[in-house]
Amino acid sequence: MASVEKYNRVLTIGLDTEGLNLMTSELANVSMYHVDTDDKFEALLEDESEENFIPLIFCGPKLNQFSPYEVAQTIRNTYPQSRIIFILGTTEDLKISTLKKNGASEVFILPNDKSLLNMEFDDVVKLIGSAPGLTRYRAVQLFDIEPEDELPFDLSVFLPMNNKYIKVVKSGDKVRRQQIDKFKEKQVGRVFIDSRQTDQFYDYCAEKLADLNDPNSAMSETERKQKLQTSVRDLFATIHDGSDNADFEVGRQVMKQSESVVAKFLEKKTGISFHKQIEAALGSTEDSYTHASSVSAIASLLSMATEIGKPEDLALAGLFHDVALLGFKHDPYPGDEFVESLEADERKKYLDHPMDAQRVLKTKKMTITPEIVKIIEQHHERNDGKGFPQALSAAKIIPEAQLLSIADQIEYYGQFRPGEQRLSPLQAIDAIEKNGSISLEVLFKVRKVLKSESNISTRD
Amino acid sequence: MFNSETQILIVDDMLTMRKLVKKACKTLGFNNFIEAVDGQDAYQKLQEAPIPVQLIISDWNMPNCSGLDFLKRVRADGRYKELPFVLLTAEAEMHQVKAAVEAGVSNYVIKPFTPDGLRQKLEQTYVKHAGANAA
Ligand SMILES: [Fe+2]
Ligand SMILES: [Fe+2]
Ligand SMILES: [Mg+2]
Repeated sequence: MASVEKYNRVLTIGLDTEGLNLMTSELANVSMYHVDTDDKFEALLEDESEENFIPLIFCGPKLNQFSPYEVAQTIRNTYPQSRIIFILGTTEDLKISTLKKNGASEVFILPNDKSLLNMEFDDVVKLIGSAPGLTRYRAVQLFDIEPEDELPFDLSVFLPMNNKYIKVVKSGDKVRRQQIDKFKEKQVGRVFIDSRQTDQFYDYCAEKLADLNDPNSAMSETERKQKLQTSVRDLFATIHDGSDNADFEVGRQVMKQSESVVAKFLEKKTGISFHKQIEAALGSTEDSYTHASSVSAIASLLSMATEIGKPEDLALAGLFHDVALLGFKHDPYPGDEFVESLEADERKKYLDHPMDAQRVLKTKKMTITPEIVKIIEQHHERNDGKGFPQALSAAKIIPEAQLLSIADQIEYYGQFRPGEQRLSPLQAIDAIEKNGSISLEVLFKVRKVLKSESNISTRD
Repeated sequence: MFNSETQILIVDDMLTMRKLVKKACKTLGFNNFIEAVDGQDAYQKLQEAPIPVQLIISDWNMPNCSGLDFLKRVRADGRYKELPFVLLTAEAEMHQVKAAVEAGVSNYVIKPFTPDGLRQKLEQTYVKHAGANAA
């Protein structure tokens, strides 16, 4: 019987040429077992050593007899604990959500998702151990760096002329004023860290964020608030529209950074583990997992910068806002058409989901405060009174719920959707203003955070 | 309990899923299987089976005739009113289980499943049907 040692812990199934080339070049020193024929696939399923754990399985569209759906479902059943990643050239007529429903943990479409896939490879390196000479870089957004700050990670910049990364600050070194000015000259988000140091980097950022949120910090109140706004703005400035592919990729990496930083911030401040909470509430349904964690991070950051609500409340409300919609295709602003298209019980489930969150969480033995319950209950209410489930009038909708709705919509508009333009956060705010769902007062505060001198890059 | 001779009808549109269900059933000691690719095919095979089917394990999501449609046809047929019918469903489709319960499903198994999980569900199913027959 084929044993798991043979797979060397990375297994590929039916990758196409592009996926295979990418894996073998990016993970040059990791040995893999390739299942590239129908026969090998069937043999794999017969394998009696399935008890063994294979952490990562990369799958593609290239088996003859077996569709990616079938691969996803059977591999998920055979390896329930594994991370199952699909690399596809196009979605063709495949639906990503269906693929995930069938068991895929993550689906990457090349070439758009190349940088996200690279982050996945980072994890392979972390898990399996990096081969010498193989450094992987991740774009990050720096915020609130001061002269004489000691960095617990290496910082590199990319020199396109030489096609090379250059280390400019070594871990443990102090940053000089001159260097900070240099970074600021660079486009935001064009600073890189070694992917093996991401944890140190996130810790550092979370520490900074906690400090900026601490009313007792050494800074003056005005300085503290100003800095907090600038930091949040910098993060969002990088979550850019897809006009330029490189920008788009950087934006996605920074979005991930924001999520990790907010998660650590929350843990620090409340002792609540973001990841454990989300796991417990949403299980492994990755589709809702991704949506929830992005909405949570955006809502929490906006709360910090606008001073609407408590960041930790918004973070938790973001995590759980759609918990009653598990496994349900969901657009935050679907219009009547979408609601009409649903069958009666699906429609009921959809219209009830804001009110149902608390009950669903209870079945999972989780509780949330009444404040958070209220934010969630109102996240589909609208300023024009046409929201659901209560069709509240503008004055009755709390600002926190509006902030959550904005985060929900920013996330929604920022997604790739076939035939539709992907919107940057600022463009999303324009769209939200047009759709009339949020009060002008709250929109104004959010717009002020997102739009600023930073866009004309004269920021100090 | 069901025994090694129990005739099991396995319904799934995916060849490899049928194999996995069969493999799990074999570990539990079962030997006799009939396979079908969708509800329509399954209903046909159910009627034509040389030895009567004693247990159905059916996928939910199938083209042409879904697990639910198949279940409804089975329950509408007087001969199969009491036939143990176990539905295989994904976690994400859990909200559809209600419809299945209303249509008279005996039990359901969530994918991904383990042989042991399957065994538990089959035991429950057996007890349930034995109880109903005794009453
Ligand atoms: Fe929602
Ligand atoms: Fe949502
Ligand atoms: Mg199926």
